[in-house]
Amino acid sequence: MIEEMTPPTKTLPAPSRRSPSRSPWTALIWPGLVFMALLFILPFIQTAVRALTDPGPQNFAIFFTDPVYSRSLITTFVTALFVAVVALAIAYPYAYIMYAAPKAMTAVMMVLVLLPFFTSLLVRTYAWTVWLQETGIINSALLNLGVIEEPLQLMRNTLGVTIGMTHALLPFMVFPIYSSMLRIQPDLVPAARTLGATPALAFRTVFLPLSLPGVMSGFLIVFVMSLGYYVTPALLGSPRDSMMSELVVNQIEQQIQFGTGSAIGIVLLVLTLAILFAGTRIISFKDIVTGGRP
Amino acid sequence: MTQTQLRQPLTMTATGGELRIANVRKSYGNSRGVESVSIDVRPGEFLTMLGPSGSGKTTTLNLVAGFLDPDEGSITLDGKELSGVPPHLRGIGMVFQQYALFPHMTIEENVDYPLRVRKIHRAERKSLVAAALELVQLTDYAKRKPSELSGGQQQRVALARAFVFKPRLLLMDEPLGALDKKLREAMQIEITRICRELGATVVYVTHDQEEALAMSDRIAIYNAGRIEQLGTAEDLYKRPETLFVADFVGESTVIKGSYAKGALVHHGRSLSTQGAHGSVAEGSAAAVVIRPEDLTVVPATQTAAIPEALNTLEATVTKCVYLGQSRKCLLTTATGLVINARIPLHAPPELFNPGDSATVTWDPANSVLVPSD
Amino acid sequence: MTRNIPLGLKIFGGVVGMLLIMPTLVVIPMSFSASPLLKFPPEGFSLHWYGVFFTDPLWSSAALRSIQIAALTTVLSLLLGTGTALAMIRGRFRGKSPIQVLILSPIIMPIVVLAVGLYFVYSDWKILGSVGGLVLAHTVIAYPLVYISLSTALKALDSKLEDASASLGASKAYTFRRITLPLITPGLLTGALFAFTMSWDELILSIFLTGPTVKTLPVVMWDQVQTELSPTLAVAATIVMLVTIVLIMCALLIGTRRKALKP
Ligand SMILES: Nc1ncnc2c1ncn2[C@@H]1O[C@H](COP(=O)(O)OP(=O)(O)O)[C@@H](O)[C@H]1O
Ligand SMILES: [Mg+2]
Repeated sequence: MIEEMTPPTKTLPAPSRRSPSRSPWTALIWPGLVFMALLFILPFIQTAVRALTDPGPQNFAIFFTDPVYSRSLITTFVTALFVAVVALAIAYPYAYIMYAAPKAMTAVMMVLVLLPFFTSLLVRTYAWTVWLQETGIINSALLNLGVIEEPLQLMRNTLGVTIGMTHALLPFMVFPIYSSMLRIQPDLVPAARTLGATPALAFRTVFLPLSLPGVMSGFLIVFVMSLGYYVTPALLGSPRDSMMSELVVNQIEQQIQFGTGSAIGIVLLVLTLAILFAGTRIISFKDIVTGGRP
Repeated sequence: MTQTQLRQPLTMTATGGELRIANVRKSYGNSRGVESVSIDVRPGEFLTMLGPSGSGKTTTLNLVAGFLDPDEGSITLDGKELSGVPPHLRGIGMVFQQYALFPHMTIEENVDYPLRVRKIHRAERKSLVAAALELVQLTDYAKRKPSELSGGQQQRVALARAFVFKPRLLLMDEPLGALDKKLREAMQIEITRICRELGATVVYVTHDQEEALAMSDRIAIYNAGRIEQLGTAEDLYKRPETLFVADFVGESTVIKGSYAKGALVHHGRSLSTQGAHGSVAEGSAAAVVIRPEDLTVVPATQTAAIPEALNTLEATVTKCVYLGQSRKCLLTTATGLVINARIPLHAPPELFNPGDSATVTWDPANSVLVPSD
Repeated sequence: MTRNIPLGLKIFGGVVGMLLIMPTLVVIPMSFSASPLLKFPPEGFSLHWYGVFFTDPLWSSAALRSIQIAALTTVLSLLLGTGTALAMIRGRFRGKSPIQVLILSPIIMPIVVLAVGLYFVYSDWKILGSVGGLVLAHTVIAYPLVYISLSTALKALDSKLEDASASLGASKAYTFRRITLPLITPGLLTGALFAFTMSWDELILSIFLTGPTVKTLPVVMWDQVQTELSPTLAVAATIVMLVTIVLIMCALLIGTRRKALKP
């Protein structure tokens, strides 16, 4: 049947040299797809299956029965939001300096952001404990100077997590903002100035709105990545207010409760996907992930 | 700029400001921006800065607009010193080459911008914006975004936005540079019309000499950070003061030599400069400039008819091109001089072929004498 | 026109710049401590703990294991990433944009959940705690990085050059080998470095998927962070950091060369 239907199309002139069936490159998509199906999609399916069957959907009830879990949902969300806001407040001016500074300065600032981006998260987080712990550098210095009498609680709380995660995720905020600033036509702010706007007004009415796509992309990626962070909250966060990823690890590694662990994981995944999906209403997924770089 | 001024209808802004640029110098580190530029722009005048790229035109505009501070010299508008006044308080309208329209605002919002930052009353803003859009014939496009307009339309929005707040002075930096030739010509007429209607003083920058000749009251020729000559189109064409101006404005034949006793000696040949415009020092290096239409090409066989008073040069025809209204002929002399002549189609019945010998003649009174290097 | 930056903003930029790198650097002096206690400021100066790192089989074998896994991950993700980038840019087929979303997702999905899922899948496949399993897992997150850098390189490649080569009589294979490949080599190298660094540093997947015999360096460090704190940890941190910095410097240099290559 199908064979009988094809000849008419064959008589049509080929639309281009590389018609769909003949491009030699098309087949190269398969290894990647098979790989992703087996090692990315299948694991998530397996996790969902475990959550629903080991022993049953009641795994999810833990969020209603145990306040530790319902609270972790809020802790995770609030921490991620907080980190994204703080990172934005730091990254925007930083990106603006990179944009406005002479070339050499921009390069130095770029390297400064890139290095932590690639230095082991574990090493960085561990280094923060050296600074922040009760006997750490900051507390010792302040005690020696007589500024404080009791050591300050700088980690094992929201402050510690925020410091560590903001530090870790700052590059993901700086890059998209910086690249969206670069895309602003350089004449626009001078134009606003000749039209009567003060520097501050020109910034607020022209530059800022035009850099918003980068801000949104950076905010989303930092927010979403914060949701699933594990190492930083585990080392710097409060043992009482766990984030969801910590609970997942705890359930699987310590409690050997695969069903519950999977259920928490699935809720975390769904939360992530929901926020990402909401984000893609505003900007494209690729721009979220790659920070709008072409 | 006062609110009262704004309250009057757009077309009644009869008074453009008077801009004086006096001995202004600006360098960027080691690189030259402009060196000692002086121009007086008269109220209501359309003055064009014309020159090759890198000659300092944009730098001059940026100094006037307030984006740069001069190293030396002064810039005044209606007698008030501008240095130290930030761009937003200068009240100077500016049209940028790439339009510089705000992409996140509609056409209307773009034009409204200078009025909004001046906190003009809403109703008044509305009527001013409407009048400005009408003047540039874009009333129907008010609600669109800049990206939905063609290049020419965007340029007109940029213009409306620059004059809606009734600046005393309008600056335009190669505003038509991004448009194709045909649209450019239409926009030249459009911009001239609008500026005349507004009565604004305009300083216009271009590197296209036809555009400069077509639009301006006066033209300042820039070269290497200086003004070579400032004058009307006719001044520049008929009476260039330097070799650069002669060469840059219009086509010409340039004959170099040394000046002695009312004549230019070119490769041992004495060419009279009797009645020529311009003067140079006795014995100095000089050049004679002749426009193509002032040259006559005579076939080698008819030289007897040439009057005594005319200069003559023997040359070989390299090529002749039909140009519609006339024929352009390029000839080369034995000394390697290239002659650019224009032959009216109706005048001599002869046709010249490459390789033909001919004699080129001109009236010395139609030539211009300029210093040479 | 370079814009003026208010002084306050400049100071802010300087402080943020310092905070980006300074805190991490404390581990370097700590690694030279002479005392068996990990603390700052370190007591005395010695290379003792470097000796321990390179002789204690716990550390040295983990380091070697990490290098092995990172190298294999690099190879696998280069193969997959290059193939996918070529298919996505040169191929003609429907559904490119969902496929792109799929490939880029691992960058942004919660890795902990992926780790749990892979743990279940690997239990079924009986490859928990194997080198191969770790390589596959690391490739899941290295692959999108290679894909991004390769597809950027391929997009920047002027396809007219390939047409020109063909018009001069070169076969497709010859054109690929002599024109396409040399021009995307910087992209390949950048992708390779990203992949290597990523695997070299990876902790979360490794925590779930390593076994008692196959441990990577970050996993050993993680165990140490939570239990005894000996200066060997600072040594490991310093070494991990230096290796990464050297690799990234290479990537940046390649990046500059890539710019220079553009006509
Ligand atoms: N920001 C700058 N930094 C250094 N040199 C510059 C800068 N802007 C312009 N120049 C130099 O100043 C000279 C005049 O430039 P410009 O005014 O832009 O010329 P034009 O507008 O006539 O093309 C040129 O030689 C140019 O190289
Ligand atoms: Mg210019």
